[in-house]
Amino acid sequence: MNSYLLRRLFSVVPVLWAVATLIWIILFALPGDPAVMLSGGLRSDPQVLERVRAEWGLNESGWAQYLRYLTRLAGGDLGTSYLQGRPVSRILAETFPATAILALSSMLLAACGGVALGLVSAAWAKRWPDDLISFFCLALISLPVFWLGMMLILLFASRLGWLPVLGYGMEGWKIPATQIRLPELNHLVLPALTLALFSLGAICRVTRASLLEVLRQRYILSSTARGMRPAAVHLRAALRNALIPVITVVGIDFAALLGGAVATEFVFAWPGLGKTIVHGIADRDLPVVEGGVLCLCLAFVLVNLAVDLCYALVDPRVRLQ
Amino acid sequence: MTATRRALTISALALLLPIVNGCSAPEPAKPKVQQILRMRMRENPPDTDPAQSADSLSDRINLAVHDGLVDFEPASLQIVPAVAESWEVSKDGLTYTFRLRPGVRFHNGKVLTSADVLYSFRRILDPKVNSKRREILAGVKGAEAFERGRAAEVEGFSAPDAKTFVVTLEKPMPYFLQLLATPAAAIVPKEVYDDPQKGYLSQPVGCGPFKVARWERSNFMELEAFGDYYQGRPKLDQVLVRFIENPASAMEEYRHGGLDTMDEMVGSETSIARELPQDYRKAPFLGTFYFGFNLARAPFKGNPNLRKAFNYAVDRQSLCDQTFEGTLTPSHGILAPGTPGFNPQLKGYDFDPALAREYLAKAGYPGGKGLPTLDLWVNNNQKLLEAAQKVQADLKSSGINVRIKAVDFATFLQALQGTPESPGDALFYRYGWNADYPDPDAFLFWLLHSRNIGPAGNIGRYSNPKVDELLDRARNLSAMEERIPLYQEAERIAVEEDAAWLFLANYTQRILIKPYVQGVVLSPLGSMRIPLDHLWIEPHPLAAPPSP
Repeated sequence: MNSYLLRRLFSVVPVLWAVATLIWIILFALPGDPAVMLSGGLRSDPQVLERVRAEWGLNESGWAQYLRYLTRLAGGDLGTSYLQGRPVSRILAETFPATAILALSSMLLAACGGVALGLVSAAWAKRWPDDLISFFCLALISLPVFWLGMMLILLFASRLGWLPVLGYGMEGWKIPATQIRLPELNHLVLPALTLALFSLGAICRVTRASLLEVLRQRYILSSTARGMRPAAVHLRAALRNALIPVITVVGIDFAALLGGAVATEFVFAWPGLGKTIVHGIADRDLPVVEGGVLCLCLAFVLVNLAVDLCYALVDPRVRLQ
Repeated sequence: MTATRRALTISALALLLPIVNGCSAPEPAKPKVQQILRMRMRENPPDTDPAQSADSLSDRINLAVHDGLVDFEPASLQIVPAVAESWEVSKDGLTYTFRLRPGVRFHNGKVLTSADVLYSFRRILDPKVNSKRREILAGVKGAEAFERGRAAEVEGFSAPDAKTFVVTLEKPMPYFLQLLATPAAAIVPKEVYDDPQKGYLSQPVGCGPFKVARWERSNFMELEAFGDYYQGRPKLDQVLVRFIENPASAMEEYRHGGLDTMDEMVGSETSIARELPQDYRKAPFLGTFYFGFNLARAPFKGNPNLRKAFNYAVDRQSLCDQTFEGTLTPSHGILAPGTPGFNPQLKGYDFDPALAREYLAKAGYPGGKGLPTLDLWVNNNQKLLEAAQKVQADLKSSGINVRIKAVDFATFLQALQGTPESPGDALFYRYGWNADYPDPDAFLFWLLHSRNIGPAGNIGRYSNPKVDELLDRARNLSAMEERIPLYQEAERIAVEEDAAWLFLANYTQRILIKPYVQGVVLSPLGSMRIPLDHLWIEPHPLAAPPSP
C-alpha cells in the first residue's frame, strides 16, 4: 500500500512537467503582448514598455524564457504576478480555498442527492417515479450552469428573499493561523446548489444503471430468498457493489468542478480560482495562469488517487499494487 | 391529551401572530441609517499604486485614498486647491511655486511636508518605479537627464522649506496644473512607498478622505473614513466596494438593495431608465468613439478619398439612436463637447450614400470594385459588436465590404498598435479615447501627433507635419485664447482634409445611484470622479444593512 502511494505520488512529477510545458507553449503562442497590458493598454509609453519587457524578461528568446520558467518551477517558485506584483503562490492560497469549498460542498450535495435519487429510480424502475426522476435528471444535465444560476438567484434571492443574491459574505469563520476564511453559509447555498444540480443528474443516472445491473445478479436473488426485505436488499446488499462506477463519476466530476466552476464563480461573484485564471488569461498575466493551471492539475491528480483508494475501500477484491 | 391540546393552542397562536402583528399600530418609522455606501466595481483595481494608475477602476480607488497638490472641481473641472493651499505661476509660465496646507496628515499619522511631494514626484520619474504615467512630469526641467541616469536628482524640483514646493518646467505647459490633478500625481509617504516588497499595493497609505481598512480580493474592499482628513472627516463612515464581475448578477443585487451604485447597464437601457427613473443618471463624458484606419497600409494609405467615402457612408444618427439607444451622441470631429476648443462649426461628415459612392469612385474603387474585403477588428463586447454590424451594413449599401473580426482585448490591442516602427495587422478597427484632463491636448496631441505613433496613442499612424507643428505650438503657449485656434485648425485638417478616421460619436456616462445617496456630482471625466467625501445617505426605508 505504502509503496503504491509513493509510486503514484512520484508519477505526478512527469504529469506536472508535461502540463507546465503545454500551458507555457499555449500561452507563448497566444496573441497579445503582456508588456502592453502591463504598461497601460490603450496608451503605453514606449520607454515604459521597454523597461517592462526588460524587467520581466519578455524581450528574451522563447527558449531562454522557457528554461527560466522551468528552473523557477523546479525550485518550487510559481513566480510573481505581472499585474498584482505579488507571489502567485499567495494568490493561489487566497483563491483556491474558495473554489475547493464550493466544489466540495456541491459535490457532497450532488453525491448524496444523486445516489438517493438513483436508488429510488432503480427501486421503482420503469414506473412513474423512475420516469419523473429520469426526466428531471436529463433536464438538469442539459441546462447551462450560467442560466440555472441566474434563475436560482431570481427565484430564491430576488423573489422569495430567502438567500443573498451573490457574494462570499464578509464575516465567515477564519481558519486559525491561516489566511483562509470560510464563506458565510447562506452565501454558499445558491452557488453550491447550482453546481450540484449539474452533477446530480449524471450521478443519479449512473447509480440507477449500476444498481439495476447489480440487482440482476444471483447473490441478490439468494439474499431475497433468504428473506431479506427489499429495502435491505437494495441498501445493504446491492448499493455497496453498485458504487464503483458512481465513485468514478463523482471523482471525475469533483476534479472538473475544481477547475470548471468558472461560470458559477462568475454568476455569484465567488472569489475563486477559476475566475482568477480567466482574468489572468484576459490580462495576459501569464504567471498566474501557469500557476493556477498547475494547481488545478495537481488537485486533479490527487483526486484521482483518492478515487483509486476509494475503490479498494469499497471493493475488497481490488488490491492496490 | 392535554399535551396535544397545548401544542395545538400554541400552533394556532403562532399562526395568528402575524395577523395580530399586522393589526397593531405601526411603529413610527425611525430608519437609523448607517452612513455606508455600497459600490459595485467590475473587478479589483489593477493598480493601487497611484504612480501606475491608468484605468478607471484604479483611478476610483486611488482618488478616494490619495490626494494631490491640486484637484478638479468635479462638475466644472476648474482647478481647486487640495494639498497645496495656493500656488503662483511665474510670468514665463515655467515656474510653479506651491504653498502646502498646514496640518495635512497621511493615514499613518505622519504630517505631510514638501519632502513628501518631492519624493512622490521624483518617484514617478524614477526608471526603477517605471510609472505608466511618467508623461505627467516628463516636461519638468531635468526630467530626461534623471530618467536616463545622467543626473541623481530632478533639476526642476525643489523644496526650499517644509511648506513650499517649486517645479520648474522645460517649456511652458498651460495644462500642467491639470496633469497634477490626475490620480497619478498623488502625494505618498516615503516610508511606506520605499518598500521593495511593495506592501503598499495591498495596504495603500495616502492623505485622502478614505483609508483602506480591509481588502479581500475579488470579494470586497472596505474604505473607512479618515478622521484626520484635512478637508474634514467625510460624511460617509464607510465605502464598501463590492467586486461583482457579471453585470446581470450585479444588476439583480442592485435591484435587491445590496448595492447603492451600479456602473454598467445590462440589456435595454431605455427600459432600465423607465424602470428606475430616480436612479438613472446620464451626463456628458469627455470621450470620443470612432472606427480607425491604419494609415500606414493600403488601401487607406495616401487615399483620403477612400476615407471620406467611409465617412459619408455611415449613418451616425441611427447608430447613436438605435444601436446605442441615445447613450452616444453623433460627432463631427474629434473633441468632445465640453472640451475647451470644441468647435460646433466643424462640418465633418453627414450621412450621404450618394456622396460616399462618388468618393469611392474618386478613390479608384468605382462601386467598390477592386476594394478587397476588409477585416473590422472589434474586441469582444456585445454593444461594440452591434455597432460593428451597423457600420458593416451601412458600408455595404455603399459598396464597401467589411468582415467583422471579434477578438479578446489583448489580441485586439496587439493587432492595432504594432510598434512605433512597424504598423499592426489591423487595417480597420473600433476605437475610443477618453480625456484624462480637460484640454484639447488630451485628445489631439496623443491621437494625432506623429511623435506618438504606435502604442503611445496615435495607433492610426496619422502623420501630417502641418498638424504636428500646430500641436507643438499650441502645447507651449500659455494663453488659452491663443491656443484654441491652433487646436481647431489641427482638428479641421485631420477631419475635413485628411479624414484621419471614421468619426462616429461622443460618449455619455450613465450610472444608477439609489435616490437616498445625496451629494452626487457627475464629472465629465467619468464616474470615478464622483466625490465620495461629499456623499451622505439620507434616511430612507430602502437603506438596507450591507450584505455582500
